[in-house]
Amino acid sequence: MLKIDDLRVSVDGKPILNGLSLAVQPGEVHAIMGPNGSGKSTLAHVLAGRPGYEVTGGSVQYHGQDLLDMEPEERAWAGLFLGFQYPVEIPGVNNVYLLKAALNARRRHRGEEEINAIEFLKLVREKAALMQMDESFLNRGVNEGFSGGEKKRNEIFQMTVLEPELAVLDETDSGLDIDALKIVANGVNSMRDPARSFVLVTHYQRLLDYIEPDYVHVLADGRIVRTGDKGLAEALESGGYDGVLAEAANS
Amino acid sequence: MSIARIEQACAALPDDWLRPARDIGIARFAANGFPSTRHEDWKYTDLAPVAERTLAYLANPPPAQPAPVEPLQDHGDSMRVLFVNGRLAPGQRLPVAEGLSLVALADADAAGRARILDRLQALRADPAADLAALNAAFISGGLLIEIAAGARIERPLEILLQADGQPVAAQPRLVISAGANSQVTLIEQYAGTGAGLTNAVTDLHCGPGAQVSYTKLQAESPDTHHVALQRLVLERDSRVQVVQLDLGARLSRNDLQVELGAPGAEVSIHGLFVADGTAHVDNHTRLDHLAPHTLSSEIYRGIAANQGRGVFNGKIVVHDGADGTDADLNNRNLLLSQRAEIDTKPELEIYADDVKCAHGATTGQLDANALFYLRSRGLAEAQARSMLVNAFAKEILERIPLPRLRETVQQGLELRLARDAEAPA
Repeated sequence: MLKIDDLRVSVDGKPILNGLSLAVQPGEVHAIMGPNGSGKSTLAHVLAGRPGYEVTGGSVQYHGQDLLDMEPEERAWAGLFLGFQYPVEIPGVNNVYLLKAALNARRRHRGEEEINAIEFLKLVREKAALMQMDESFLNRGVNEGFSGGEKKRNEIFQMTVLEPELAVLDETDSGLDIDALKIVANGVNSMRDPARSFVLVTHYQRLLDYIEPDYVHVLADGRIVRTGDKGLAEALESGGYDGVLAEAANS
Repeated sequence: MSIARIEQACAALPDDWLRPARDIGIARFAANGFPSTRHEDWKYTDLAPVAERTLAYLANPPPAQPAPVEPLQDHGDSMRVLFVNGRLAPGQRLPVAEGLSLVALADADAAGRARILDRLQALRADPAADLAALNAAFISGGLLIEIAAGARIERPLEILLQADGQPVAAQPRLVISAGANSQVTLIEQYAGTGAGLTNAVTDLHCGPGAQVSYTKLQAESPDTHHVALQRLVLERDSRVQVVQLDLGARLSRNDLQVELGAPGAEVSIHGLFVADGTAHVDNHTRLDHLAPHTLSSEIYRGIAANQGRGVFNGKIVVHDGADGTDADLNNRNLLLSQRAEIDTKPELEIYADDVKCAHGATTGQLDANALFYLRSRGLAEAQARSMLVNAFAKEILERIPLPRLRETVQQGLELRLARDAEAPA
């Protein structure tokens, strides 16, 4: 589904990713962990097509297509979703209005009919209930006046409505209390499917207590230095990044 | 200035009771002429093209019978009055409602005449008033609107000021008086075709306790020149909600002057101007807090696209003794292209103690983070941009009192800015 090969990315001439490789198969959940500044968020942004990143080498294939050659909206139409670390507040653009426009844009590009108003409302209500979001949130401006936790919940809510095939969630767990974390994890788990994959970018192991990953990768200095299963995350939790990184350097 | 030409054009007007008033206008304009860019308030807006058109068009006085104009879309249950080429269109039946009086200026009775003369003489010593003097020289075609004390006019009154495409210098004048404790919704709409010229003056006087909703929608043809002076006088405890939309014309200049003359007077202003193509749009507002406990809040949004140029100047003067004034001015501007430009200047002059004044002005581009966020959700770039521009304008547009007019304006703006986005920057 997703094949990243020797990806090299710079920001303002400064190398951030230095030969990152990763393969994600349908149905898999990959956790990418690493200390601050290791390049985790850069990876998430480059996958979604945020302007301002210079790809200096390597490739990213998504369903056999050159992902890096696609506009951000084309990536969304192809089934990619980015859950933002810092969701943007957009006063004046209604939450539900955006969702409907997004859903229909993707449908149009897939040659499908636009969703009708009743069907859409039903879908939105069902997913809002799943995310335990008050319906009053739906008609507010996008993330306008939301708390940090509400913004993150709104990201996952959008994901459950848009039903992407590959979701890249950038530090979705940061800033959440335990209750909110459970709701967010529940939203993600409800979406798990043999045809759908997740890349969870996170600093902390605790998210993985609620969303069980198939693979855990440790990112350092812009490349993956270790890959393991859930046990690796536990080792990070007990030994910290320094221990795991030192071990990786010695091996 | 070719005063002889103006006098000649005036001489062609009917010899009615307004002639002395017109002579005063001619004399004042003869003395001062068109505002010059040497004046601080006019430094960004060169009226040379307006002067040129005025003189050229004065040679063609508007025909007594204008060509038929395309009716503007009806927005439901409002009363409508039609002006063509700056004059009350002949042969129309003016709307009738209890407590509402609509009379051509030339036909005003003694009380009406006194009111009109009073407003004609109350001209400030500023260049915008010189343009009003020019308007006064052609005052015969105007309209006196009076709302009786205590009257509540249920249906909105729409004044449609249209141009029939002839090269004429339209000089419309509205003299409006809202009686004590009256209530009314007024909408002044400018539209038309051709390369016209409008020099409009609106005088709105609000008696004690009056509640007035006043909207001006300037949507003239893209080749028109539009200059306008609006003077609002608010008496004790009166309240006016102004919506000011400056969306059309190649060159437009709007002077909105509000006098908060007695305690409890309150004005709120929501303004939006759009300069696209090569348009030049200049909005000057001046609020005079003359009495204690007067309130003003002003929110202005400006959008410049392509090679458009916008100017906003918001002046608030809190006069000596106007203690307890609360004034809030906020102007935000959006530049949609590299070559677009907006100059903004909020000005506060405070001569009283114990006042609450806040002002702020910013000019920026579309938020790149918001744009990326929307695109990452699957909105094409053009759609995402349009959504953000609409969100920016929405705060003002949602104040338009007629829902269907609001929709028409919003859709028109969307189409226009989409077109502008496609044009090479």
